[in-house]
Amino acid sequence: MLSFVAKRLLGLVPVILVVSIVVFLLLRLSPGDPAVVIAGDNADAATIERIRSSLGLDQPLVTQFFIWAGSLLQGDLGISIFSNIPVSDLILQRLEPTASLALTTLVFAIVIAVPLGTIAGATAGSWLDRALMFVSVLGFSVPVFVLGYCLIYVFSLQLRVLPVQGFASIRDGIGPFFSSIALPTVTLGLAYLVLIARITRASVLEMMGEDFIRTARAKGVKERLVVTRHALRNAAIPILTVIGIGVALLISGVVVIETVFNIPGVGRLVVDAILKRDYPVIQGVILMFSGVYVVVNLAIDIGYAFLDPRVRY
Amino acid sequence: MNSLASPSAAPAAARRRLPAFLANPSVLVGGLLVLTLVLMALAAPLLGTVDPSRIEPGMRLKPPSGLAWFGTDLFGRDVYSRAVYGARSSILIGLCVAATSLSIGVAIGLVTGYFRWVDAIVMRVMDGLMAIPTFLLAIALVSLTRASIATVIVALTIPEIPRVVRLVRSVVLTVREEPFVEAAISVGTSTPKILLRHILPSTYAPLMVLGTYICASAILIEAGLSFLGTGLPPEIPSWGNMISEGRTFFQVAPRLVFLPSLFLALTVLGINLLGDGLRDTLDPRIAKRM
Repeated sequence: MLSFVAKRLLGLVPVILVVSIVVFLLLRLSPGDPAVVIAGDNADAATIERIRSSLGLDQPLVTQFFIWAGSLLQGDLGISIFSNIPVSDLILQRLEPTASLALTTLVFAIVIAVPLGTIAGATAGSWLDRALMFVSVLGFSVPVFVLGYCLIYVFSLQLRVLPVQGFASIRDGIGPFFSSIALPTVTLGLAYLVLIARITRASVLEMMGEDFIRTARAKGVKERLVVTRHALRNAAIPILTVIGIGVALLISGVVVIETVFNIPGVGRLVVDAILKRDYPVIQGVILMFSGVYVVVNLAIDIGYAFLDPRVRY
Repeated sequence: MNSLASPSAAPAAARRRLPAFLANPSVLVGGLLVLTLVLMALAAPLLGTVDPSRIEPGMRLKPPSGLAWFGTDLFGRDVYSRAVYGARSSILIGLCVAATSLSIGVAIGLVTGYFRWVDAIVMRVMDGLMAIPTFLLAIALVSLTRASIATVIVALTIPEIPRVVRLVRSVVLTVREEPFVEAAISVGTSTPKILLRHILPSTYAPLMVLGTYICASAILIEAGLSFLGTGLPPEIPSWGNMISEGRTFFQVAPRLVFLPSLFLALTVLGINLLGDGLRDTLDPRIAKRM
């Protein structure tokens, strides 16, 4: 088991290397002089020179990469050009709303999707199954921001039961926290929910045709238990996998959703940074989100080995 | 999911099954929806539209009327005309991104799948690219240059390439062990000819399906970029731009957001339905590779 974990960790090295090279090159590949790009249209020569030396742009490319990667390894993501605050501090300041939203969305999506997908898979062809398949195509087709505005229109503008925008920390009380985060959670969670539900349905449906299900039924196990204990358990691996892969969907969604609902999180931070061409911040946030994605999927990979004795390592 | 993928090959000839497509309701509905929207984009000037970029300060934020069916926006531009013309940029971007990422991905995938020594290196690069969330990579790429239709296409193509490479590679890996490939090698067929004549055709069916998904995803991401103000320049009528401009007046004039949203959702819905239907009719085994 230890050697399996070590092997998986080692396998991360090239991935992290490629991610950091791509992120590093982002700024360097911009056409023209990056220092001029960052400084903006009205900058004077002295400002451009200051930016150039502060980013180490006067060094050869390979040297630049090693300097950048070296400080990265020490947890230094650089300093925001616009606000002069270290990028890691900026991210930490904005982490709470994003992390809260991500957690509520995960819980919302999984708690609904897994039972829904299981029932649909066990009763394939029923009205519930058809309805789920229909909603899932819709869920993949409606962009998050469109769904967000529809929900705001209904719940905030017409029914007036939830706030239009903004974020309340959980420290301000449970009530305000949940009412501020309810719409963003549902908006962000829908695509994720239908994705998980679809895979759950498909893998439960596949398991229902297996011999061990017939055996369980033959020995008189209640249908409910056949589905939950026998089918769902054996269907767990694809479900876990898609929960991991779907994190990418959540990350993309967070960036847009925080703008729709005016939530001061990491997603809003990166959008503002892009509009201002604040490259160290863009690089930092991309690295952080990619890191989260990689770590979540690694954890799930290792999780299989613990959960399922059939997985060889 | 790899462990679950069926080891058998999927070389079903797409041509033979053409009639089966059309019997699939998903293909039929999706196809008709897409066809209607493409026709709408092409025939935009004939559909009772006015110049979508004409600014009329005297007509700002007017409600729907006989003159402007869905009212006017902040600059007095006709919302209906802009939404109809918006189909052009979305569909153009969707098609171009699908075509470019498929062709580049196929080239890389064929070579990587066939030559083992290239495989290790290229796949590590692809894994790395896939670890960066698509939307973030696209948004960062587009922020490098001044946004135009061309830069948006490039920025959306790069994150999609690894998906194509993976799919093509997985097909190549299974097909190259087939007896007909062995036979071709044994009679001295050249490697490029084996790749193009014997292996490439097996990728057509799954690529067609993946192509529709890439097209839908590109349209969604473009709209997202424009919505955040980092996509197409505001003077180009696109659904994302319209939603982005409309959101400031959402409380007074929600139609500014809803009309382009409806078009956007219908387009993506049509393409997704088409993709799902193709996947189910062409070869059920494809689903496992996606």
